[in-house]
Amino acid sequence: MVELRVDRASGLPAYRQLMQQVREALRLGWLRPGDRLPTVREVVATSGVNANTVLKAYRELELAGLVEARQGSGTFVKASPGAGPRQAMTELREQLEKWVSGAHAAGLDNEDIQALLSAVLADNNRGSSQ
Amino acid sequence: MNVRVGARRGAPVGDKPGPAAELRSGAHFADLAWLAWRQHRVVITTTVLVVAAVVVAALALATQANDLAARCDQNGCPPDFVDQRKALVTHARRLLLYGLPVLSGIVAVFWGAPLVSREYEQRTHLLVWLQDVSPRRWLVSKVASLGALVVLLYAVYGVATSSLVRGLKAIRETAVGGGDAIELVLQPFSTTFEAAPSLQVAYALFGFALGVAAGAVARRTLVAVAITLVGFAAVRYVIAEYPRVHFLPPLRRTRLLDAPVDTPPGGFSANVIMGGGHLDAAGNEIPTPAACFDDTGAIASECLRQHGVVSAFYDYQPVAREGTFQLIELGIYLVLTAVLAVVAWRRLRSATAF
Amino acid sequence: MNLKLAAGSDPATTDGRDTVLTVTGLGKRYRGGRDNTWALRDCSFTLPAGSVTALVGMNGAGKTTLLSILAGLLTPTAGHLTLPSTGQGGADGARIAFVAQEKPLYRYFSVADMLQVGARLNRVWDQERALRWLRRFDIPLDRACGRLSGGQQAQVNFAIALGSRPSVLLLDEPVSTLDPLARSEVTAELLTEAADTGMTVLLSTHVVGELVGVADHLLLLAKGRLLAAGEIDTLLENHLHYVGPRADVPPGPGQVVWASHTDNQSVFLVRLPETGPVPPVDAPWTTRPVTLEEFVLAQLKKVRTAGEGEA
Repeated sequence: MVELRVDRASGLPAYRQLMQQVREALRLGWLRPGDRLPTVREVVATSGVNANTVLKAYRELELAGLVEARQGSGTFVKASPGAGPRQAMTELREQLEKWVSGAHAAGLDNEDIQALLSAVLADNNRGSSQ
Repeated sequence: MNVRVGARRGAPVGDKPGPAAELRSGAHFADLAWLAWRQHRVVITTTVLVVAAVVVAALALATQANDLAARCDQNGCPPDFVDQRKALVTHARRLLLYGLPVLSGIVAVFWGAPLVSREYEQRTHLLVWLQDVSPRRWLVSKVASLGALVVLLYAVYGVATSSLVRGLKAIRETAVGGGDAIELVLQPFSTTFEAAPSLQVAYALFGFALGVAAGAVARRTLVAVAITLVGFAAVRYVIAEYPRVHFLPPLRRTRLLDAPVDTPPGGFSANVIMGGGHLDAAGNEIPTPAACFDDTGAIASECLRQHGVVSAFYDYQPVAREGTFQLIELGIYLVLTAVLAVVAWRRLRSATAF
Repeated sequence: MNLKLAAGSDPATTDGRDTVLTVTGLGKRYRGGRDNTWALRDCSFTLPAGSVTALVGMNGAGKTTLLSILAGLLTPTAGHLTLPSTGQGGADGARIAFVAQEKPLYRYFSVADMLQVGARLNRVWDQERALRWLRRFDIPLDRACGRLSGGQQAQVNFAIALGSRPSVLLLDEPVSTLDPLARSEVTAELLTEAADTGMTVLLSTHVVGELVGVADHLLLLAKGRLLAAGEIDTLLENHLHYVGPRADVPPGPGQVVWASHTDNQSVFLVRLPETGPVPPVDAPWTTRPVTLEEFVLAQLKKVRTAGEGEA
């Protein structure tokens, strides 16, 4: 079971933070298909967020096809994001590790790398939405 | 996909009691009476003890007075009678003179004034008036429960003071003594008048209502206490001093000049003499001619006659009217009490928080 | 003027949920005020059942006035509020509990006595719920309330409010007297109680930073007027920052709420047109989402600037 938390200092809306944590847990394998997510009440009690926020996050995850609500018994993991190309994930990760080493060798620090990544992602987004 | 996540919460509606919750028809009178007692128990207990002490003292003096009066017969009184009577009258006078006005003031200042004002001052009105009890219901129940106690307490007190007055009157009947203040204590329309249980209850209720109304208006305990203290003393003093002997027009006794003075029933000191003067042949009041006073201050009848005076008169309030006047005063205080209660009631309708 | 439009044109999203409270054109003017100022004016909004709404505003914005009207302590000068009588809850309809900022208690009453006050003065009383709360925060039942700390007095107030099982809980600055640890604990516990019972919560605060995730709806008050009302996520998604070189107008669509300029940089906070995805902007401009704190501060600064303009 994962413990969901909300960082009040983060600019991200609380429900998105919860969604992100569930996705991350799925990606990292902490949550597997068939696992039960914490109940709304449990999340409210541990993270101090409002029940509607948790419900919204779970609803969005349900709409994305990652979890399913089973009447009376809770919310369960249905699938993992990017579960299909698990093989591809491993390869991409290896490539990225190499690339990061290269960047460090070229004198970039972590902040530079993140800025570069954000810029590329932004350009890429713009390209796809036009 | 059906978005039904929210429905899964299966939560009970907030106002529907869970298994542990108790559902009642609402706060009963007994609940608010409990609150009144719990909130004011110290001041209630203190007041009851003070009043009880005075009642015991008054009853003891009354018994003493009756015993003393019983020791006199046709042959007169025992030798130590005068000394004993003097001591007793001194104590009784002190008790009646200070006890009658002050004791009902206790209720005004310590029960009435803080009742509403302290709730505002300590902001507890935000708590107590926001449960399932309206401010007015709270006020009515609290005033009614405390008011019932006031009635009981001061009725007992009035019974005790009245019996002391009766004891003093019994002593006066013995006609032995003098040199003490018994006539002062038994002055008509004064101490004996106020000692009646009905009036003691009315004064206390009036003071209580004045305190509550002052608190509801001022919303500060100290201000409410000040208003109550001044207001209570002023109303009691003014009504006792002026209107009381004018509740009904006085009776007039007229005699021809030189005719003997006829005393009212019970004698002059038992009634209140309001004034006197001279009348002409038509029965009109005329000022006493200044020329008729001789050097000693006496008035020459012959001189008066020359100035047209036919008869002399005096006006008095007969002591027999005391009962009627007590009823009138009771009515006045009850009306004042009702008016003040309405003021407090109206004030709490607009029970604004600020 | 458009401030009111902004609030008015953005009615609270009800999510298809039932509305527990509807407020229409609410206004309050205190008698005897020096100038005829309204403490509250033209306030219209709804509270969806089960929502947690934050009432945000500076000191003196009218938060307490609004809460007092909703609690029934004040009579509004204008407008009205409707509480639908809940069908199932019994004949008495919606029950409102109010925890005042002062957290008042009878000083000479023990904590147990205070619970008895709650039990005796309410139609519905859940002693177990009240006791659970007090146990949770280690409040001694036999202690006189006057000898409790400010934080403990607040806890007794919460226990009484929860014990009366309200359908709407109004909290005026609920955590202002609590230490930072208790703040988050109380918030979590209150939200758990709300989640358990479906209770609707309206809480006022001026600390926006602690609201993230706590509240799902926002009522933003300034100078007695409602600047914004609605679901927080929707409000934030409808706003966007443009960050780029110094410019007089934003590079993309949207109505400017607040702009700040330095010598070589401009930041625009805009309200996006209805619907539509986040528009792309050309380099060197970038976009950045708006946080709740930024949104609230921008709205308040805008009002302050408008006020200075009038003066």
